[in-house]
Amino acid sequence: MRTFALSLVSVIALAACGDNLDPVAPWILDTVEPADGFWIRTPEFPVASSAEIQDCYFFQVPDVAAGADLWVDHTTLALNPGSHHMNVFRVKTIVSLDPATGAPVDMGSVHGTVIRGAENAECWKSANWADWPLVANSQQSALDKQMFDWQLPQGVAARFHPGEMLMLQIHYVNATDQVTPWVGRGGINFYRSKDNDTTELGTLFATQQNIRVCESNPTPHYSGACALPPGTHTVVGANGHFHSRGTRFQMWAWDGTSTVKPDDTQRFYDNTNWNEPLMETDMNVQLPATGGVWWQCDYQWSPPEAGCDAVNAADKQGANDCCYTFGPKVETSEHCNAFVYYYPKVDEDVSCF
Amino acid sequence: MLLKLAALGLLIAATGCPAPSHNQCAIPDAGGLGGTNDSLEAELVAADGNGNLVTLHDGDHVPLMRAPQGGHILLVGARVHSDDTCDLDATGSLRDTASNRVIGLDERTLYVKATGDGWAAPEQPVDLNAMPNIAVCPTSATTAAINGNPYQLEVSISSGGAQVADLKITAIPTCATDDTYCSQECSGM
Repeated sequence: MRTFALSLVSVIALAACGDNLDPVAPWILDTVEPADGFWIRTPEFPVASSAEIQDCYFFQVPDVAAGADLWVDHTTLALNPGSHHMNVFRVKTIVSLDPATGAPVDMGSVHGTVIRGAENAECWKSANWADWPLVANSQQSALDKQMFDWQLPQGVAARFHPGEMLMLQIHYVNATDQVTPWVGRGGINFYRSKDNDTTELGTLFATQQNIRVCESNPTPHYSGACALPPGTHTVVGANGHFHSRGTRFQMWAWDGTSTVKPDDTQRFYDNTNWNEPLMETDMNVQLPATGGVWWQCDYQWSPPEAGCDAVNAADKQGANDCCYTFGPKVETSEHCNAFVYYYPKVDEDVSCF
Repeated sequence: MLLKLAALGLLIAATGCPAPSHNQCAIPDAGGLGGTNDSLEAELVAADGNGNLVTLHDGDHVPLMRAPQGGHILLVGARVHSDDTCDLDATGSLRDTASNRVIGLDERTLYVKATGDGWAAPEQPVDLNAMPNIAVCPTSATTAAINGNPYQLEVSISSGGAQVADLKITAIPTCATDDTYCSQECSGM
């Protein structure tokens, strides 16, 4: 193994931060030899004051198993402070976000392409990855907790085909709601299973697409339910995602037939921290045989630091009520996304939106 | 006093239209706290992509609408017998009666506005937030086609945590004729 050195930019940025950050330092991940899997790193990039940056990196899963599928049972995801999210998806239907149109980029053990949101707005438009199944995600980038390490349960692993195209999407903010003290940067180590795991990990991505958190109606909530394929499924990880008006994100095991919110004894996720949301792992939640997941987001309206103009401008209804509506921008819009990891995967991963 | 009223009028004029009220709807007292299952007279409605609100009857086709992030939804709610412009809570769902599984479900506030005829209907039906968005395609709950097949459409209305109306019909989710993406996505697996 060798250590992937921090660039001069990062070191200078760190040095410029002063003693208030000492002894915290940007993360360092070991690289991964092909016999053990593969590793990817984004380049470092500046995040100017008041900026929100979202970039879409594309790369192919390397052939490190002599042409056979690669089973991964252990991942480490790392983010410099200031990240809003880092999501990895399997690329399926190409709509308007085409990896072939990206700029070449060295990503460590693989070469890929990047489409930067500042240059191409398609990287911001979620309809472009509507049918791209979730692979992994992290929202963890606190100064003292920049890495998220996850060993899947015995017998369970994520499966990749050599040459399969993945997208790593990374979002940084340096504004009122979130602050990026150094530079933006993300990385992931994918460690291959060496104990013959045969149960495939599945993912569920569910979102509420139509949200209004308005000054005149400041405490709305939105709930949804997402069905899994027939069969018994066990949830092993979960996290929720919203922006700074989000006050509580909950998920419950759902029986798949009821239309009322499950009893709280069925709740398996409960988070009140929008900025560094809880990533629950090492879970062992068995869902009902024809069931799925019920999720709910609660909100509390708060005035935008920069005033309501930008928020109102994004409101397609034109209500002039300072309504935060569905969208990716942390400062001016809201989300309600559930990320759930379960086994066994049946046919395809699950999306509800 | 007149001066104060004039000042208030000027203030309203200066700040634009007043924000909509968000009070809970007054529910007829049916003898129980918060009403009973059918204490509120209500009718199922659906919106199409043009914001037209249509009252639904058993066996009707319901438009499948494209959602912003992908997928297709049914945008359904209810007209209620009320003179109020007020808020209710609505849970919309689509059920496969063969398996009893719920294919999609969405619960949110239903904003209704008095229409002057003793009824109140969802505000801004062209806005997707106005009524439950039932995401039905894609789905893992059934392998049968959603488009063109009959399912049970359910809308439950509640006020203050108590159910006050429970509406169910057989409905046929239907793609627009020129929406080939919908036809593919909602065609089953």
